[in-house]
Amino acid sequence: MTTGRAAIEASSHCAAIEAPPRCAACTFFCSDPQELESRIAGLRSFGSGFASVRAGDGLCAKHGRYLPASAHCASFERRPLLAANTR
Amino acid sequence: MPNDANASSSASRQSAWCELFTKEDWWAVWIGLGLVIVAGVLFANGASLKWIAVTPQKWSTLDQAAAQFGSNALRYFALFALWLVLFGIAVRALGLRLAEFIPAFVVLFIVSALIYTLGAWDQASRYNLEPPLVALVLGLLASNLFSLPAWLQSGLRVEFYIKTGIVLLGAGFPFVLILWAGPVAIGQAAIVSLATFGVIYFVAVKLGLDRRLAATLGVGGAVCGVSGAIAVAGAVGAKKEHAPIAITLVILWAIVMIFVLPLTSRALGLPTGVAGAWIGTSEFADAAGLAAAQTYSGYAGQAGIAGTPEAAVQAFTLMKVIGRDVWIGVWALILSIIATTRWENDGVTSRADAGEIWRRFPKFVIGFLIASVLVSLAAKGLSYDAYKKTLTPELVAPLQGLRNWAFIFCFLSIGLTTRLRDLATAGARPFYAFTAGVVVNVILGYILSTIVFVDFWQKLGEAAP
Repeated sequence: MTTGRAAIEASSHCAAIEAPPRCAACTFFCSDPQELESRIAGLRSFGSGFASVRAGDGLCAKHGRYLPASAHCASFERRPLLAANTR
Repeated sequence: MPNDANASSSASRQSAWCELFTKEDWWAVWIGLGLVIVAGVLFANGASLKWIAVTPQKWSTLDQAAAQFGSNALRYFALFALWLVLFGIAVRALGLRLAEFIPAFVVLFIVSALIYTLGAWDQASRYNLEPPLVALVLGLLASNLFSLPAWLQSGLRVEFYIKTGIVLLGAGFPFVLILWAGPVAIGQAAIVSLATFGVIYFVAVKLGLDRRLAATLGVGGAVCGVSGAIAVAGAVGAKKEHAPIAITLVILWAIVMIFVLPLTSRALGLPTGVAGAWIGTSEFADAAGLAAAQTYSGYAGQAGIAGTPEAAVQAFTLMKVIGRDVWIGVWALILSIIATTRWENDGVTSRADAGEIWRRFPKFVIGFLIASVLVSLAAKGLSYDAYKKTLTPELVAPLQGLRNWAFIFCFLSIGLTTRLRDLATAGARPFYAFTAGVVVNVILGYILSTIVFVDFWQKLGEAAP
């Protein structure tokens, strides 16, 4: 079932046409708020994965770091478009 | 890379639109401002939201409490339906499962109503049964002693409820008060934030901790708790274990301070405005601070505690939201510049830019300010008598009632989401560094609130409507 968030992100305003080779489009990068709330202990208590202050940051499985979505590195691997839009 | 730059710019614009419906901050603005506007339209047409904004009234016996519930059952049900629809639309847009949110919110509402009612008992303050403390303790006991069903977690959105409550709080906050007190709040907060950050960062580095962890701990303690820690962890590209360590320490100290700050303030007999300023300076998270400030509101008028009940919450909000929270983007920008230019990057390239300030800006503050402006405009031209006899009971009080409900949902959610066994192990060195900052923060916050700016915060308590 498509969630409200996925529908919004897949809409014409939100779907990136050709995302640049940055963390945001990388297969090793996870910035999904719910996923982060389950991976970062305590984030839901006094905080939130859906907060504006978090911007588009996410966890990089390659480097083991919490990075801005605009960062990049030599290990970049593009995430399939469908997966990128429904995360 | 001009093509990359164009694509990046296009993606940023699209992402900005997306944010309006995929971030909690914006949903708090839509819900909070929507309620303020509806209340304003009703008021302009001689009606009011007060029927649906029902709150428990003072009672002495259980029979009286039961009779209150009985006679207002339809109003409570309508209030529940209103919150369920508003939050339900938002959580659906955020991608959470409605099938889990609905039963979770039913439980949250019922328990919140019981706690709110207990707080209306005329002997409640005698036994320290202030609703924020009761909600917190009850939630902590339930989540740490029992195994709660996973679906309940969907309804426990601490930040969402507190942000919605803060937007509604703006409706009872004269804009002129923000203009008058804002600069002092910003000045006081700047002194304490810089000192606290400096101490935590310095001690952490001296103890041999990674500079990224030191920065994450420092902003978590100095600016806005978990939100500050997670924002700066991202801005500096912290290791994945850094944010959980900082979050653990923020949560532990924030919970301690929820009890320590209001109870110490009461023991010292601090006026409500002064105590609110101290809490706003020295608490680590909005939700925790509002629990402490709301608790102190309940002490107004008792045992020589001067000032209006609202002053504690107002002073807290000025200090924490206006003085500290809104600067998170600036902290993130400065630290990301340092991280990208001075610290090792381990093969990851990142670029700091001024857009960081807006991207990380806590957008719910915009809703708070707009709500304040709207109600201040509605009050413009009214005599003091008309303000007290019509605007306050018909427009402001119902919005304050709704705000208190949002806060109770938040306070109960704090306890129910704080499972100590699930928190990351912080380790001794991060604990020492953070605790050094806590000591400085609390002492400096006390000195500034009760000595240096005492006349100012005391006056706020007298002037608040």
